[in-house]
This record gives sequence, structure tokens and C-alpha cells, in this order.
Amino acid sequence: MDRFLKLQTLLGVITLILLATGLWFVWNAPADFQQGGAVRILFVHVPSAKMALFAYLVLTLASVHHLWKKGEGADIIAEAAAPVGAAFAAVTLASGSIWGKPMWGTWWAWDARLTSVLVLFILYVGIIAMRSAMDDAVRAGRVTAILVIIGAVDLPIIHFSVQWWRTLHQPASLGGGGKPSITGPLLTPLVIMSIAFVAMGAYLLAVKARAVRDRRLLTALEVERELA
Amino acid sequence: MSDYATYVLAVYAIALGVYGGAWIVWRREGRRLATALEQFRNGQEQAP
Repeated sequence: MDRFLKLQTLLGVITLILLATGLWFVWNAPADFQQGGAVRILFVHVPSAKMALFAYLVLTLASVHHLWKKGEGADIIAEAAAPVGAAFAAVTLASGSIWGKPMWGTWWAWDARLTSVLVLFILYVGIIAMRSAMDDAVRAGRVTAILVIIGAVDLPIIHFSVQWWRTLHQPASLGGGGKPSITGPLLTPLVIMSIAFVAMGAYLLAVKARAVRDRRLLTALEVERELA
Repeated sequence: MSDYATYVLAVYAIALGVYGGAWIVWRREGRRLATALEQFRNGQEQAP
């Protein structure tokens, strides 16, 4: 069995176990004294948001590595990480908006955190579009890597937006530097779902990266055959 | 689940649709490419 496929299968099994455990805790979580049952939205929203940022970090590191070392492996990771990150950013925006309606009384506000996450989503879409618009794969890899690195400026803006500006969005519930702002039976499902989403992100990246690698191999072999 | 059940269900349905949909599409793409690659290699081996 392909080594990549073995890793992918292992990640898939780990993801499934963690998601099932997390959802069990979500189902049994008590209602929040202020948010009621809507607190369950945060068990999807917070891990998705963290993964949307983490995927961009992976994308940036892979892009820097690709520009510096010219390795194809890093470019494959970069190509695969963009749609994975876009999926996480899309769920972050949708779940945040749905949570915002009953809690804030509005689906959307042009607040610093919300706007900077929207910019992140647009960046992901732009990166995917730019790569697919170019016929020359080598040039596409380099140009996209430059765009990714420029776009990385949005990461600290997203992270610190709730501290730098007066925003409607509350400070980080988890991993904001201090103690978690939620405790007890609501913290456990959030932590387990966050770990499950890390595993899911790694799994989806492996699935997509394998497809990207095989597509490139196939294209290279076809070109080789045409030249022979 | 009592209050805000519709909002909660909508979020979990969207998450399932997006992540599940991505998984199905990319897995199919991967399988199709892996098969094509294998067929290409087999074809090359059989070629004179």
C-alpha cells in the first residue's frame, strides 16, 4: 500500500473517533446561562476558525519553502492547503453569521474580526483561482506563493483584531493567551472538537494532496510520452 | 436541544455539507487519478 495512503487512512480513522467522541460531548453539553442551546454552534465555529487560520499558516510555510528551496513537495502541500482552508473559512463565516442572528440580532456586522475573516476567505478563493488560471504550473506555483506570503499579513490582523479595535466579536474563548473564558462541561466538548478538527484538517489535506500529486505525475508522464 | 434548535441544526448541516462534500469530491478525484496513473503505467509496461 502507498505510504501516503496508509497515512491518509490512519488520519481518517483518528478523525472519525475524535469527531464521534466530540459530538457525544456536544450532545450532552448543558445549555449556556446566556446563550442557551446556541452555545452548541460554537463547538463548530471556534474549531473551524482556528483551522482556517492554521491552514493559511501551513500554506504560507509551504509557499516560503517552495520559493526558497524550489521543492515540488511544498508546492503540492500549498496547492492542497488552499481549498482545505477555504472550506474551514466558509464554515467559520456561515456558523458565525447564524450564531450572530439570535445573539447579536444581526446576521453580519462590518466589525474588524468578521471583516478580516471575510478577507481570509476571499484570499483563499483568489489563491485557488490564480493557480487554476495559469497554464504554466511552475510559474503558477511561484506567483501564487508570492500572493500567499503577502496575504499572510491578514493572520495577525485576525488574531489581534479583538484586542486592537472595539469589536462586536468577543475575545478568544480558547487559546487567546490567558485562561479559557469558558469552563467545565462546555470546555470539554470545545477542546475535543478542536482536536478533532485538527485531525480532520490533516486528513482532508492528505486526501487533497494525494490527488494533486497524482494529477501532476500523470501530466508529467503524458508530456514525457508525447515527447518520446 | 430546545431553544435555538433551528440555528444549531443549520450550522451542523452546513458543516456536514461542506466538510463531507469536500471529502467526497477530493476522495473521488484521488481515486480517479490513482486509477488513471496505474492504467498509464501498465500501458507503458506493455508497450513495445
